[in-house]
Amino acid sequence: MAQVTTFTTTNIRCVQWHDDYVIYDQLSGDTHVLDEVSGGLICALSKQALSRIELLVTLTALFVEATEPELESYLDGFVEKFELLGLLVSE
Amino acid sequence: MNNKPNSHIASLSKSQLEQTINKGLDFRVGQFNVRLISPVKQLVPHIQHLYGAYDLLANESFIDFHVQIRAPSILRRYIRPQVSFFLDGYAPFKPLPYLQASALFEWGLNWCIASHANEYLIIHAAVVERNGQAFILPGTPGSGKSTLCAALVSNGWRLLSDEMTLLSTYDGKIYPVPRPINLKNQSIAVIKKRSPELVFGQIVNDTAKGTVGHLCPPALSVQLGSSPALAAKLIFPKYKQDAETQLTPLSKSKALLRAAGDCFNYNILGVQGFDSLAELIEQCACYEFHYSNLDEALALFTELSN
Repeated sequence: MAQVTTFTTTNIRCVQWHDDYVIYDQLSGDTHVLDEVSGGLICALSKQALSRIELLVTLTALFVEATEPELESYLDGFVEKFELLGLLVSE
Repeated sequence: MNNKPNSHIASLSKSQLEQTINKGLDFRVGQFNVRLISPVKQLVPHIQHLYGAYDLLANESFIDFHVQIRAPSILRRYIRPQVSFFLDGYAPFKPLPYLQASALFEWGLNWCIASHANEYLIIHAAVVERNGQAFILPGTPGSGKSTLCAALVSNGWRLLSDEMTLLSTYDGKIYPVPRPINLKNQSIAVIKKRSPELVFGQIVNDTAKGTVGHLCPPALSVQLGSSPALAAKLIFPKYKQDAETQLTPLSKSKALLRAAGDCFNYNILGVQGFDSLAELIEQCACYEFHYSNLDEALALFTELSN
């Protein structure tokens, strides 16, 4: 059986004000301001691990008019960016 | 010396004060108990003129900061005299010329609080209060926060601090640490001209920060040194010559990032610092404020506090 990759975050605090999310990374001590999409995903991942499919479903709800390749591309960029920042962990 | 209960530094004559400072003057500054020991005569008028309203401590009170101002060596008592600041016998700064003793005491006491009082998130910000609302004014040197603070305080606002906002990580309240207001360069003349009745300490030239003068805090603000306040506004002031008075709302996310950068111990407190700051931002309206005209600034702040 193929193993499903899941994504999660560790040790972060999230605060949302309007369309902005402020994320505090307890490991690095860094504070980030994120837009509603990235911040929403990171905060969702801080509550529970999600698979790529589940993340795509979440994105589909946010970007109703987006095509599947556009969503895939956005998600790839999201994963790359936030893994680099140390905010996202794939398991 | 046996201090009477509830007696103030002003109750000491100049000679009593000089003797006491030589042996150890114990007094209360907001939440902190300070012992100052110094043979430096120049400090006596500074304490007498600017600290008269501060409570003397009862004997054997717990002391938070044991401070000494004295020459770093016997040589520097006599040849090119200098003074050093000591906390518990440790000198964190290089010595300064003897004539800068009073400024060194003020800056050193700031350092004591900023580097030790980690039960508070400490924001580099003036904080003043009117009608039960504390206004926090963060700012880098040159932003005009102390000038604005001095103008507000001389117009009846309560001074909690001109330099450090102490946000309790336990109850989210702002705890006062009312101290002489440190004004620099042109600000001294501006405030003296507006309010000639205000009491200044010695004006010290040629310091690392230019010419500095300390303004006596209002006695009522000192007497309220144990009463915390609730924050209502977080305003980032910026003085710019000929700028129009302009108050611009600032998003809470940007305000948090900027305020975090203005904290002395945000990184030390970790998630506790973030949580405290986020709660503060949640309860405050946040703005950027550009000004050049103090009268307009005062009118606007008064309106905001009504």
